[in-house]
Amino acid sequence: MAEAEERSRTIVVDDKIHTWPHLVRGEFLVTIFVMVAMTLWSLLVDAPLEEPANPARTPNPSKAPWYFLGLQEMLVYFDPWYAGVVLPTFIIIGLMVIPFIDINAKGNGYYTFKERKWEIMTFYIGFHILWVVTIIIGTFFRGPGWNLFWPWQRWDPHKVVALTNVDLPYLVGLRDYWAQAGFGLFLVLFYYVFSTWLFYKWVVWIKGKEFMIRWGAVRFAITSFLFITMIGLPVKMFLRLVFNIKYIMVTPWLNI
Amino acid sequence: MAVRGVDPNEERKSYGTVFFVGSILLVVVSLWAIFDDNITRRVWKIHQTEFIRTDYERAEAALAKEQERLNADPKYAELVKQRAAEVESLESGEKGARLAELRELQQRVEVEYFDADQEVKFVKSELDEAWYEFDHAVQLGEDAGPYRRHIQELDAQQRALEPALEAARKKRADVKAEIREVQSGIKKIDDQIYELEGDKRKWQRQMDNATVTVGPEGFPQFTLYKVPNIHQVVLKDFDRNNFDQHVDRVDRCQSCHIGINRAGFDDLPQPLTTHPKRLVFLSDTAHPPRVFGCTACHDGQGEAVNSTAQAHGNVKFWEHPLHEGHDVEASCVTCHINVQGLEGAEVVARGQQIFEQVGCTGCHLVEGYADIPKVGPSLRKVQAKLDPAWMVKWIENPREFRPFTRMPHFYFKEDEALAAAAYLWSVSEKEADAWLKENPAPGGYRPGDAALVEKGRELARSVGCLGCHGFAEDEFTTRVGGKDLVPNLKDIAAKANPRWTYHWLLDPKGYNPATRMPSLRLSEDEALALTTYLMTLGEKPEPDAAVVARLEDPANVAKGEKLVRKYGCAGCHDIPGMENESRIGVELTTFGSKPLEELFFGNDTSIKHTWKDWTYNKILSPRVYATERVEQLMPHFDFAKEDIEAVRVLLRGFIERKVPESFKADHAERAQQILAGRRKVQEYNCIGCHEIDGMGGYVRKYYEQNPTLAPPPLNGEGEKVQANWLFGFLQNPENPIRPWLKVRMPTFGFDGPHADTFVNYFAGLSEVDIPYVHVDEGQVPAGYLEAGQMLFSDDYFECGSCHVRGDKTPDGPVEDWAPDLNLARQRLNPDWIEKWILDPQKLQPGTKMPSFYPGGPEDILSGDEKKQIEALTDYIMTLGLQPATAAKAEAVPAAGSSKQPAVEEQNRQG
Amino acid sequence: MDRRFSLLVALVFAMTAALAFGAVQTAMAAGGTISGAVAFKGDAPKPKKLKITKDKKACDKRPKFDSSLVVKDGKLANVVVYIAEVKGGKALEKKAVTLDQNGCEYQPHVLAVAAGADVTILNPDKVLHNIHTYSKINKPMNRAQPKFKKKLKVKFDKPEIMEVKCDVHGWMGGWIFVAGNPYYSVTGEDGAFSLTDVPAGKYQVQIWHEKLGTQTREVEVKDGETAKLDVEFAG
Repeated sequence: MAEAEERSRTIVVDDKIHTWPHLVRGEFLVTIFVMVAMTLWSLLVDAPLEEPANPARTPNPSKAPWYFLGLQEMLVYFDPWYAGVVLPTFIIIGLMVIPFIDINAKGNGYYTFKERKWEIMTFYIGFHILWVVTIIIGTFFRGPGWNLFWPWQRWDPHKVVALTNVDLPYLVGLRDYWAQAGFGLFLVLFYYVFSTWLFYKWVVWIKGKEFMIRWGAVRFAITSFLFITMIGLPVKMFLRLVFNIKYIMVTPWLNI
Repeated sequence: MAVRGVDPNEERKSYGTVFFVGSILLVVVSLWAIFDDNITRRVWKIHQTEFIRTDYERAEAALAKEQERLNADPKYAELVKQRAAEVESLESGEKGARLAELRELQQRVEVEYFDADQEVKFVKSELDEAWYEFDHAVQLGEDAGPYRRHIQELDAQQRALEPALEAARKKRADVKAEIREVQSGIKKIDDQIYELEGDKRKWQRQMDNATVTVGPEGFPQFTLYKVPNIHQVVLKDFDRNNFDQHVDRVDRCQSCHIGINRAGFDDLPQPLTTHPKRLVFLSDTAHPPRVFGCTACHDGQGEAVNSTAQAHGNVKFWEHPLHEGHDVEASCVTCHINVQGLEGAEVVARGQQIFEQVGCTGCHLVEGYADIPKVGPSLRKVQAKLDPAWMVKWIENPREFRPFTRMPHFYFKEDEALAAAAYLWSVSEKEADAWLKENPAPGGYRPGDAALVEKGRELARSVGCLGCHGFAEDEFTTRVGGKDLVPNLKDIAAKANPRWTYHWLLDPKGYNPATRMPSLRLSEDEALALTTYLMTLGEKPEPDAAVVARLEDPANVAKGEKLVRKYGCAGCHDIPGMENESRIGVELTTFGSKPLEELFFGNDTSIKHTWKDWTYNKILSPRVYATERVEQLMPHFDFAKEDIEAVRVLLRGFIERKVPESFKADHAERAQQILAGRRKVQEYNCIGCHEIDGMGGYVRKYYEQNPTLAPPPLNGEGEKVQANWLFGFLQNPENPIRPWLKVRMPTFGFDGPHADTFVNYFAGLSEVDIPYVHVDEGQVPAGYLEAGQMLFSDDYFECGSCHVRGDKTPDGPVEDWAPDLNLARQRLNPDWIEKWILDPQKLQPGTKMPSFYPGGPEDILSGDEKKQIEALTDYIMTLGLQPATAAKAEAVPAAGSSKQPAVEEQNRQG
Repeated sequence: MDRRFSLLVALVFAMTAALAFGAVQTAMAAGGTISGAVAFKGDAPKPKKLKITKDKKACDKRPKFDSSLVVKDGKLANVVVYIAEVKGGKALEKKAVTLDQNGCEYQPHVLAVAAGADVTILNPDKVLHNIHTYSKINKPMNRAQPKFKKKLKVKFDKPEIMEVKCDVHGWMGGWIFVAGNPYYSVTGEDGAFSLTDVPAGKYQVQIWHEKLGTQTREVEVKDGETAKLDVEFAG
């Protein structure tokens, strides 16, 4: 009686199950089906061995392992220093920094989308869309010479695609090297400043002023920097693909 | 505040169906995996089992037949009957009884022997003891007397026992011998049966090899078919991987091709069939599979056994798939430097001949073929020789003038041809003028003079020109790839002028020091007659001033130079100023390894994208891959289909892979000599007149009525003639061995090294060492010269009836004569003479020289044929010497060498 | 009863007689014969006299003429008439034959011999001869026969028609016909030939002459009958 009262007073959420046997049997089922799938796969598809390695003859295309294809794809749009060092470093730093910038106490240890919409969407954009899609493009849509091919198209090693990309500063008419560098730097800074202001407005709109105060300037700065940098990736890809823009900023130290 | 509780519904949920489905799937898939692994991917097991079964069944059938045949054989049946009788006798009959008796006796005798032996042994043992005691006593300084007496007693005892022991031993041996004797009967029969059953045992062995017996000893055993297993051959360090490290090559081909090295399975389908020409290819002196594997020749993916496609390398990334058809011959050139005459390599040999002779090396560099001389004539003095209008037409389309010329078609337009001609015309002016100054027009030349023409025609057809040249459309001697190696002269008047022709005939090297054309040692009258005749072949062109004017136009000359350089004419022709031009074509040393991506197919969509098709179509129509922007320079050769395929097989053999020396064929000096000599022989067209190593002798078709008037075949020449004689003869062939021949061996003007090449070539073909001469003057046994002379004389073999001896010629017409034997001493090898006399038909099938042996006279050298031949040879080797010297040589054998100077002098005529 | 009995006896007697007669008849009718003559149409050119250029003492004892075309009274000599393929029939008798080179001339000019039979070649001339056969089916032979070897025995194993020449004496020439079955015949000066005991049936008979070529005739042979075959060669 007291228990029932207790129970009626408190909110009970029955969403746990016993590890043994219920979780384990579920895992066991999954194991079975995974084994079936793997066995079928191994029966039907043989290991993809290619020619014996020949240091005198580079394969064309020379593709990185699948987990790095995302990076290799990014190399199309970005300077190697930027795409290969700067961005991956930020990715890693970003992942490391998550526990410190995440002050949303909800959603710990249970699945929820409602409580963590923004966090999950950011991760989706960053991982599933940007990372995974670039891997998919790199695996199936890139052929010899790193040219684009539909997956069903024959890879023609002699395909020639016109390269007519120009730097943005050049495009607007600047010809002096330092003027171009200055202009590019200005654009990048402007991008960051403007986007930070936008980001501020957006966070306030979705999370509220009180959250922003609680969050603090430091956390905001770090998050906004990383988020904007990440969004910069599809922005630059768009500029490249549609407007044939090679670099926004060209300096002797960093090209973006 | 939320309290997390356990979902009560979860335990009510039953996943039974899912588990069931999943388990069934898992079982099915696992069974499939087992099946796939052991059966689907082990096709070789099926092949092997089929073969083992067939092998066993055939052996069984053959065994049954053999047994039938044996049973029908009266001798065998008799032996079997005898054996049965013996066995019966041994077991239960007379012999058996005797045997039993003897065995009983043997037992008793053994016991007796044992007793006697033991007694003697004991006495000996006691003796040993006694001796010890004796020695001990002596060493202690005691009185040894009693011990000595004891020893003597024992000695006596032993001696007394010895006879008994000896007797027992003898008895034992006797009984044993007798038992053996009783059993010997069956042993003799068994031995005879064993001899007759040879074949039967062979089939039994084959059946045993195909089966295996399982089961422990003493228990019922099962005989099962042999279990299939992987057969592999490891070729140590055969390959070099792409990092230049040695790797082993593993061939598992014989896991499916299990019968490849077993005789008698030719009728089975692949993969169980026997290798074609098994003994030629797989014998221990050729390429035994256990040493060479299979992929060394056939390529393919030797390590793979899971499916035919994989094992044959017909999978996407294997770079060396199985050779199809004749392509397998491409592997021959990797290890053999001499593929000409190699059995089984006929197609690639033909391809190699075409490649070397028709001029591919003029534009394309290939390692190993870089030294082949330029195949086209020299253009250094061409202004002195050619009619200018003819030159233009020739460059424009050579095959219109000479359909079987080696010169390919460049598809020049008329102005381009003229430009090239203009360049050559101008650049040859200086040397041509100098030559013309030295070589005036022949006096007495009357064009069309009937008598001269007739004389010239007769000369042309008899003096030896026909060995190389044809004078009508259907006349030719040596053709390679369907092209004449030497030009056909049917239209020569349209091309060359009489002045040039006259001097060329008299002295070809005066015009072109590097020419292959030899001098026929023509007199001036003969040369004049020939020139007059040649100038009736074809239409003499009218002088064309317009053409000459265009040729002399400097603009054309400049244009021509660019063209000549671009199209690489200097690759085949000696052109002044272009002596150091390099070959304009692609290097083909590793063309066979060229990957598909590097082959340009142009815009042609009808050609299949494979290496084979690209190459075939390239040779068939070399400019087929030209596009608007990509030019193709290779000219058109017009080869027949089989010739293109032969060249393609050769090109397939030009690969990157290098085989280790230990696997290569013997490349000793002899092989190199044969290679160098063969190239020279083909370059100078020796085979136009002479049959060498079984090929050539094309001129003989003009002598079918009387083959003795044709140039002699040179098969086995290395073994036949002395090396120094041949060396001298090649440089100066004036003295006729066969005086009845109208056809002349030309003077090629070989220098020492050239002649050396030929001498070594013949020696290499006959596998003899140089110097191959064995003339030992002092060793003629007594009476041989006399005997030889008698055999030679008219009383016996009448050699002089046909053979010329210096000035002594036989009766009858010249066609019936035989070579001058006075030359034998300097020219022939005595060992060869002996072989020749023994069986001339073997050395030269169809020769007029008949076999005198077997059938020598009984009354010379006691009818010993070998001695007679030796005596005859010895006598022949003295012919040409003065009779006095000859007699002295017989009487004083050891002093032969001191007679040498006189001998040499006498022999200068020979 | 009596009548029937005697009828029976007569029947049996008649049957026996018929059988006996038939047996005798079959025994007698062992194959047929093909015979006839080979004629030459037109005027035969006079045979050329052979020039003896060597060993005149031994070889020029009597004048020799070119035997490649011997015609007498319109009949052609040295023609070989034979059946190439025949099944059954009598066995091939391996009779030994002789080829003589008396006076440096082959006698007979066309020698017929059974395959596997001994051929004895005689050399009574006191000079060197050689036997050089230009055969394609049998192994070609070139054996010397010096003067001391008066007899030389050779054998030919396979049926063929081959030319035989002497290399020492270029004018000597002859032919050897090696038979695979006993049905062959060489015509003499009368041009006549006869093939006996030929089993009944249809045959392709070959008629060969060294210069005028080969003619073929189809002949049907009936038991006990003679098939007449006359062949004509034109010059």
